[in-house]
Amino acid sequence: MHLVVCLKQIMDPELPPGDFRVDTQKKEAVRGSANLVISVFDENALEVALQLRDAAGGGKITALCVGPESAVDALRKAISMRADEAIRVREEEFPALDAYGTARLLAAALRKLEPADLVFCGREAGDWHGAIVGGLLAGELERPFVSLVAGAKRAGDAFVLRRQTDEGWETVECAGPAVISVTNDDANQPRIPKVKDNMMAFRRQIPAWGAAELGVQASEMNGPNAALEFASLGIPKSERQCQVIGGESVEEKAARLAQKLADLHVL
Amino acid sequence: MTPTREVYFNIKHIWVMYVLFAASLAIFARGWYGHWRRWRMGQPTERTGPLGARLGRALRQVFSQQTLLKRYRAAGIFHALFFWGFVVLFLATTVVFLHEDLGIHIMQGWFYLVFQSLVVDLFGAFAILGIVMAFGHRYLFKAKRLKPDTRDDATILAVILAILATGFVIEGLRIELTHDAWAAWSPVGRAVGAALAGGLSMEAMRGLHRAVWWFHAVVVFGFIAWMPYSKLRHLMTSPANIYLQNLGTRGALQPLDLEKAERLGVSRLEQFTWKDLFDLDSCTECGRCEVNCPAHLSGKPLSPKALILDLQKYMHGMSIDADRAAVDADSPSPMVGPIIHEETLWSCTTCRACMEQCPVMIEQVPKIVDMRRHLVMERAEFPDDLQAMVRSLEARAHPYPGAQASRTDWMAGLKLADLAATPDAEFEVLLWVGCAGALNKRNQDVTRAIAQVLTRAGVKFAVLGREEKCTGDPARRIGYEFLFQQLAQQNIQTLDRFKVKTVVAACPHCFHCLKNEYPQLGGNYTVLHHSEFLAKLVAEGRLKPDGGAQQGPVTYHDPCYLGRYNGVYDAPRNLLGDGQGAPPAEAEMSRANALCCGGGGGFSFMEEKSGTRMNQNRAKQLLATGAETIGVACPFCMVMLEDGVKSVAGEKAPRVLDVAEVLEQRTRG
Ligand code: SF4
Ligand code: SF4
Repeated sequence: MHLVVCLKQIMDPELPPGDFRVDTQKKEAVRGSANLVISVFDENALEVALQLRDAAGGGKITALCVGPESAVDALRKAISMRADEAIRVREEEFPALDAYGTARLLAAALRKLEPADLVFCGREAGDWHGAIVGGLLAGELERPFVSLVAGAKRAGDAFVLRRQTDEGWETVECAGPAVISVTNDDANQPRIPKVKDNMMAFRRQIPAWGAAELGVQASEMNGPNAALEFASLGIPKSERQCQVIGGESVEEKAARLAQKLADLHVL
Repeated sequence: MTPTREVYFNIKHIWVMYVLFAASLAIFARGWYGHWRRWRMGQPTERTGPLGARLGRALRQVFSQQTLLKRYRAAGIFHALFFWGFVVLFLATTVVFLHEDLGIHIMQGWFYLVFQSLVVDLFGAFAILGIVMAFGHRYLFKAKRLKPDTRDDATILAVILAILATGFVIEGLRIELTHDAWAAWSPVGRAVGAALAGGLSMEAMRGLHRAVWWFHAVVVFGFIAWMPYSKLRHLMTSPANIYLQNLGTRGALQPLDLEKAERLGVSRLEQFTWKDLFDLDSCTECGRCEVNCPAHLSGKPLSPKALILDLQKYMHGMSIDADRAAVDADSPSPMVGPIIHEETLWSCTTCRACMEQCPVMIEQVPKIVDMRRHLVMERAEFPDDLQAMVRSLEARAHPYPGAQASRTDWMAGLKLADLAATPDAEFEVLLWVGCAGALNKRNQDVTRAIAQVLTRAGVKFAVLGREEKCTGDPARRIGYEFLFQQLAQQNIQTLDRFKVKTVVAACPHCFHCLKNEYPQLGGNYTVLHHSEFLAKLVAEGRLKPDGGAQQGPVTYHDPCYLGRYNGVYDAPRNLLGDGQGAPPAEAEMSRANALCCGGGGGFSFMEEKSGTRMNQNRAKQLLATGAETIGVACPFCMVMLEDGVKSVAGEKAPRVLDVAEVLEQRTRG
């Protein structure tokens, strides 16, 4: 059983709001003093894969990341949590990737890897929250896609996937190979690695693949929707206003308050 | 005629006594040999030298009986009585041995009269008095800390009493039978003899003397033989344990060499050091640790006494010869879990009250942390709340998951030298803010107050701003040595980069860590807690506080890591003022005996899942002083006690202020 978990390294989303800056010119967030972490749902995805492998009593997990040099840390973290292998795709060779380009690049890497029985993605990335790479990747690989999975079990050759819906839970059986996106749940809180594993992971060399290894052209990656362009990027301003509702009597004040709220469309 | 006495007066077949004695010594030696083999299972550690320094210190502590006399008047007095009784009786026996068996005739003349008769007689009587008091303490007043009571305890007291009492009977009868010319030198013995002589014939007295003499001998030999097999062990192990005490920095946990260590932490008994194992056999079961333990007092599944005794029992039941070589780190621990439960280990605040109280210097906290190290680093198992804290420490270098503030928020409106922003700023001291002081809302006020007071005193100080990271204290106390060392090394690099010499830490946990534990990793600075530094500024006249009338009556809560760990008790008290010039009222349990607020050892980041709330227990003691202001000197105490005081006293709750805030108010004028 080969499980591949796609990870993204992002800027720490728990950065205090006061420390968050964006470069409106370049239309990107400024890293500043923020740390880089594995996108939260991707960590959940890794945890689901780890639990699946451990319960099945065997199998291999490969962590796959399209990212810059710094992404090695994210992959080492995955190794310390006991993923078996890790591969980085050199993002630096593919400037201005969009979601479609990322999916195509991941697909190229997956074709080069030993065939995967299940490919895991996080529900959405913790920075842009696009939530489309998983689906695009399934399309690219021409595999079924199961979204919002919270837990996975092996049943013979098939996988039993527990899926979150608006109404409750759905259990899906799928023969695989398939692509799934994982959502967070109490049962897939990412584990904290053992220190020994941490230290081993620290010394681990992480192979990196570029256009040459994958046999693709950087210019061809972004798809038909490459025309997608950011108009602007900014931090919404939150403003506070204070109004004192006057009035003779309590009833009058209440009536005026109700009116105000109705005018603001909150009632 | 030279004063002396015939040693074996009225006794025949004396060889029988020697045979019995030899047998009892053999049993005695066998028992100790078994213990010795068990201790030797432990890992090496240096605790035996330097002889002179250790011996001097130990003798002073043992012979003065200081721990007991200082803290526990009644128990201290009776323990001292029979301790000294025993020492004198032991010397007297040695004198008999030298005199009779080695032919060194010293048991005569004035020495016989003054020491061997009078002193021995009186100390024997003291020892009896001590035993009677101990009986009373244990069975009439029922000291709670001595529970549960075992049959051993009663037997031991009874045997000692029997030895002492029969000793006097023998002496008294001998005096009567020999018409001892020096009887006046043995007043107690003579009185006993006179009382017995009243109704007995000479012949009967002779027979009785012989019978009691043999009985006495048999009981004494039995006592000797039994010693290594019972709690009486401590007669020998306790003084030895005091000799073996830690002479290193108080409260600094032993660092682990993470690169070289084969295993991280302790999961099996033999992975403790031999000194840890020796500790287990030194426990006198006095229960002093337990009655001062905040976890035990609040009904958590931890008692430091039970922890030691459970390990002791486990050690005694262990087969020493079992092959241990094949054990690897992943095999389940026979000790952590089955013998010492995980919840027990997670109930400790590392407040050190147990170690402070233990009369024989048993070291509970390092053992608890060693087992936590195993749980955290080998098994990666810890309570959920702590996982969140650890994640935050790893990703953001502070232990507050979800913190909205940044490390510089508290500085808003203050003009400060922030080295992260202006690396070339000149400064004399570095103010170490700490994560709580920077990120916790209430404690930001305290940090601001400290900065204001320092500015008022004209101190040239700087802060690290965004460059400051958690000292690693919470990681180290929960056993995550790896993370501690990572954080500490990063901080040491930063401190060295800015050529920091003097650090004023606004948190006792940071203070302890920077001062006593960073040197282990090569970080050497002069470190002061803010209360010490501010008290110094006041003493030097750089700050002139007013009386502090707005505070009203004050009391003070000693933070564990400032008081017990570092002996700083007076500096923070000196910053408090009530307008009347009176010292702060002392709560029940204060200074070295202070009850922990429940915030240490990771507890500030954990929910208390069982028992009563530790912070409320402490709040009640502080409220009982009637103070209107409760002074604290630690950001964790601040949070814990504000909450505790409010939930106990509600609307009428007194203010909880850091001593720096009080000083700030007192220096506005
Ligand atoms: S350190 Fe404190 S909480 Fe821990 S066992 Fe000792 S007294 Fe109890
Ligand atoms: S550990 Fe120390 S304080 Fe606790 S019961 Fe034993 S001897 Fe007494």
